[in-house]
Amino acid sequence: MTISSGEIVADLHELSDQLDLDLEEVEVSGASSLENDLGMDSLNLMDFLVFLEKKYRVKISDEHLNDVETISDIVHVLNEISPAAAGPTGDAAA
Amino acid sequence: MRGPRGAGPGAEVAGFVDDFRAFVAGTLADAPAPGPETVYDDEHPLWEKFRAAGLANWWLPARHGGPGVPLRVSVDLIAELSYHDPGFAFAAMLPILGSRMLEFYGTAEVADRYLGEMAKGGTFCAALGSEVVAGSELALTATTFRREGDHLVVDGEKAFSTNLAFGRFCLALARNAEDHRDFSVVLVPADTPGFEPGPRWLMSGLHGTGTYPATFTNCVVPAANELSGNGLRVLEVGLNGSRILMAAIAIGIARRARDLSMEYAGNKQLGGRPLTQNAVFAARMGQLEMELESLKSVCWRAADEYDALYAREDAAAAFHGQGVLKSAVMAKMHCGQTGWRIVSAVSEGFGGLGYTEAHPVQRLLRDMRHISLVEGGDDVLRELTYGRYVRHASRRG
Repeated sequence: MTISSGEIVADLHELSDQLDLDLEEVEVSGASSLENDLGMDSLNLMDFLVFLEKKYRVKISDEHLNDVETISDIVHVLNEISPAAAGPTGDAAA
Repeated sequence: MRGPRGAGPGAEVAGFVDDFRAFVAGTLADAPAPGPETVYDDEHPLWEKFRAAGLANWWLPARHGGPGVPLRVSVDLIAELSYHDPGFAFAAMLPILGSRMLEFYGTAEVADRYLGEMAKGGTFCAALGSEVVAGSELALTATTFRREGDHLVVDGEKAFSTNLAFGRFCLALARNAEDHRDFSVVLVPADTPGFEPGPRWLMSGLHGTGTYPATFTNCVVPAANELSGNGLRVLEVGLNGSRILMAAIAIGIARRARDLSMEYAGNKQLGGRPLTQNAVFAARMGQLEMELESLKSVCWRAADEYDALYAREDAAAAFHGQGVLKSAVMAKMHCGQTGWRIVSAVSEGFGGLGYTEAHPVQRLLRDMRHISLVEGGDDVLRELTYGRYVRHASRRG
């Protein structure tokens, strides 16, 4: 099963209060930049990654994060390393 | 209670404030000034009087046996303590940092036990975040914990913690040894084998405070001593209260500086007239009063915001979501910088006398300086402010 951008966007909305993210007037999509569009700082990102690691039962290494800028990038990493994912690529357009 | 804002304390809080002011006027005002060797621990005679009057740890809520004084009122109380003794004020208020973390994120049983003891005995707790290498980058914290069955094992070294050597327990920020993104705050009782406070740091100011490093070597504590939530954010939440009260220390120091100036000017002749009738002096004091009012305003505003969040049923979650309160950071930065300008200007008014070691204004200068340096130096907080509240348009003030 491939993890989609839509799932990650839904995760973000669910976590927005906990992460202190103001997403009400932001259209969140796969192309959204975690830092520039969503306003994530290093602490938000760390919380988000810990959430994803627990939910998808994966370990996201620092090397994986080197090229992560958008939600699609996160989806790509999760689909690469998740045992639950059927294919190697994410659905960035979802 | 001073100031126009806030709903005002209830009858119980009003009675507490009266007792607090009686201690300040009847005991603290006449106490000898602390020297470099003084430590206000729980055996110091001044602390014993404070504790005996039921004044210690005044913010602890009624459910843990405390008087539950709101932060808005605490700002005024701290300003009154710090007018006479900023070191005593700092030592007395700093346990709010650890106790609020425990109150919000500890299990009910652990919080009841340790906060109940604090309320009953007027004892101290301490918090440990800073490390020598990590500095202000808490995400680089090297102190670790590992989970072993029903226990946690803590290892590492911490650099600065006030009240540590005589605190009954401490709350240490640590990283999971097996997951570098997993941070927790762990409660370590003072008598835990392997926990060792180091030699006291001698500080430039704030005499009376005792600040120490510490080492943790295979410290085994119950798993229930781990606070819930991301440890970095839990620490941020704890710092909100202590930063606001640290800012409030500037109010008392600035008032003292003003009153020293007026006392000096009343006895000083310049051009055949008292200095109090000099236009330059008058302008300086007018400026000081305006700046002093701004200190009060930022502290009251931050405390009002804090109290409003604290009153919510979901206070712990609401604070955890926000982490740092912008108003608390603004208050500390503003009071540190403006307070320093106030005391610096006052010291100039004494001429060479103001540069002598024994002059009270020198002590005020050294005491005021800590506000811009401790619990996040101003450069650290400027960067935090930019990252969280300036870079993204939707978050700008």
